[in-house]
Amino acid sequence: MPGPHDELDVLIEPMPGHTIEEVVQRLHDAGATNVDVLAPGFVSARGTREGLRSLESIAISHPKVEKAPRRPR
Amino acid sequence: MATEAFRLQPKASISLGVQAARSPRTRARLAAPRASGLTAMADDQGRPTTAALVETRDVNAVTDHLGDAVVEVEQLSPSILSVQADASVLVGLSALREVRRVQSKKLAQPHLDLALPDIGLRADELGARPVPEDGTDVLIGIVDSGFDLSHPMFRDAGGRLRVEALLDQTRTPAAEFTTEQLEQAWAGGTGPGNDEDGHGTHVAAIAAGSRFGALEGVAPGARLLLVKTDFRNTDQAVAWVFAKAGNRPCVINLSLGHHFGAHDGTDVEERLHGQLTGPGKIIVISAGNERTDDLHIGASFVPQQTDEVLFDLQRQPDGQAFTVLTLWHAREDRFTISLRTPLGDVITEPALGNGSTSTFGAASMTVSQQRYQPSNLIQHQIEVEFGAQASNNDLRGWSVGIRCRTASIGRLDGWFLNSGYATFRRPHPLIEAARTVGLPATGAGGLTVASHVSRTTWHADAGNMSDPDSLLGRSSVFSSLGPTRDGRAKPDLSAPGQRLQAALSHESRRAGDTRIASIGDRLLALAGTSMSAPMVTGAVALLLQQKPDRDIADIQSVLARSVRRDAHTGPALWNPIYGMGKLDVVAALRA
Repeated sequence: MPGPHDELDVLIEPMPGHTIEEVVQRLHDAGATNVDVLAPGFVSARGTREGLRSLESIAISHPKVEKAPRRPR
Repeated sequence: MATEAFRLQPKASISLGVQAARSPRTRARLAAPRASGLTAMADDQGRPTTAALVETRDVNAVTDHLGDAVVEVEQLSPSILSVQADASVLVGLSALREVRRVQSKKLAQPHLDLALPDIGLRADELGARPVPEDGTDVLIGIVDSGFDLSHPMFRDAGGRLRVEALLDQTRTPAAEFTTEQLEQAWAGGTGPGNDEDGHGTHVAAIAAGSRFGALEGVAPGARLLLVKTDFRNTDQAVAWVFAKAGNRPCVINLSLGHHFGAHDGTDVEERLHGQLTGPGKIIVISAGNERTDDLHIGASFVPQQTDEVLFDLQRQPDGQAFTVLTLWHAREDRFTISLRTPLGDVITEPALGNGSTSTFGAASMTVSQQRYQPSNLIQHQIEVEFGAQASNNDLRGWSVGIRCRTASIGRLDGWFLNSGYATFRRPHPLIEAARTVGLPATGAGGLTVASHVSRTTWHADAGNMSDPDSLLGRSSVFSSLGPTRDGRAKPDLSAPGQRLQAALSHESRRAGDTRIASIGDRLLALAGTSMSAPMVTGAVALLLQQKPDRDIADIQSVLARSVRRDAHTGPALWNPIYGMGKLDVVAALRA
């Protein structure tokens, strides 16, 4: 099972009333890496579950999903 | 049966001899470009003529002999002439002592495989494209497994790489390379972004490959922005490509996907695509190959209706097994979901907003349910994971139980996270081939592409191969079906995706499969919506060259006015197999 210190890649959306800048600052405070503002309202980052939990009050974190090439087996 | 024999001339090619033996009337009827493999044309008076190469010790002797009987003659080298004349005149040349051989010119198949004619890009007699657009001044982004940049299909006529930049996400941290860095690194035959899988090389060549022998991509004039992806951070890959393109028109191909989501366009990456696209910025996505993979269940339920569906886990290459099943329904409805182990233990999910984990031998099982905010649904989730090597019996005979408690809408859909992890066991009435278009192809921000058959036979190192179950023009049996879970029209359209021949990555694992690889020709024959999507990507590049500020609504409108509908698609404006119809790029450029 994944532990609180395992890192994961997430796509993050600020909650209403919160800004991208606020989310980015909180990510840096939580020790997140690979912080990348992709578009207005969307931030990509890598962080620990514990660190990302500290953003729960201001943003929604969506774990990224592994894709597969579209070819028949 | 009447049989007429004729004699072939020893120094003339067979095809030329056959042509000469036909009556002038038959020759005229067969003057179509590809008749008998000959390049047949007409002279000023409309009489059919044939083009041939004449190899001779004395070119003057040949030209003197031809006199006025020739339509056109050109000396190509000290010993070879190109001659256009009546076939009987050409065969007569073989009687001259000075002539070594007379051989008719063969018409090269001038475009990619059989797929380009299928989308309207039929070459004329001289092999020229029927439209002036070739993708010049447009950027094509390919996000895929990697790229064999030693392949000539990624270089221009001067031998220079057509790649503007490459991002390698499989490195830590991700690394970016310029054209100059790539040229230098790939001088030795391999370099950054290399393709051990072979998928990305093939996809990129379909969309934008340079002329290579008889092959060519849809948009050979476009420049490339390439991402060797880790298949997770595809969101960053798309953002990187569009940022690199800046104000220039750009289309991105995503021949990849998954099923871990609501299938209604509300997934965060799908919504991101909606933000990143706009005028001159288009994303094309493969629909998926999961039509017959038994990874989806769905139906409308009435209160108190119960059902149970068996499923089996699939072992992964490392011997482990793992799957996630998500089930979705409207917030107004109430369902209770349970998991039954192969030994009959039943695990019922906790209350909304909660999850629980249980163990069963080496298996760990997590069941949970939560409100899904973006589209006001309830999401149930079941995870089964084996922490150690599982026996075959461990993997078989699991089941999901569904009980509908209240229903105002009543529809419930469930998907395993992707193909290759688990399958529902047939027969069961809840198993559905519809709604198997994957994510991010269910999003509104991209064009979604299904696949149909444009080739049933191909040549590979193992010999002549065939797909005996495929029918030309018909939808590929694997091509995922629409609509989306919320009933929107996806796929958008269909393009050839079975079996396309394009560039082979020489160092890929596919190069060892003699049924699909032609190593000497550096070609590979693959099938999938991964192959049909780049056909559309190339076509969009041509449309952006014509009008650089087109957005996705404009492109969809053009395609709606230009797609081909036939006996396979039927006349409907949209159907879940082919979408609006089959891609016709020439019609789209004229729409």
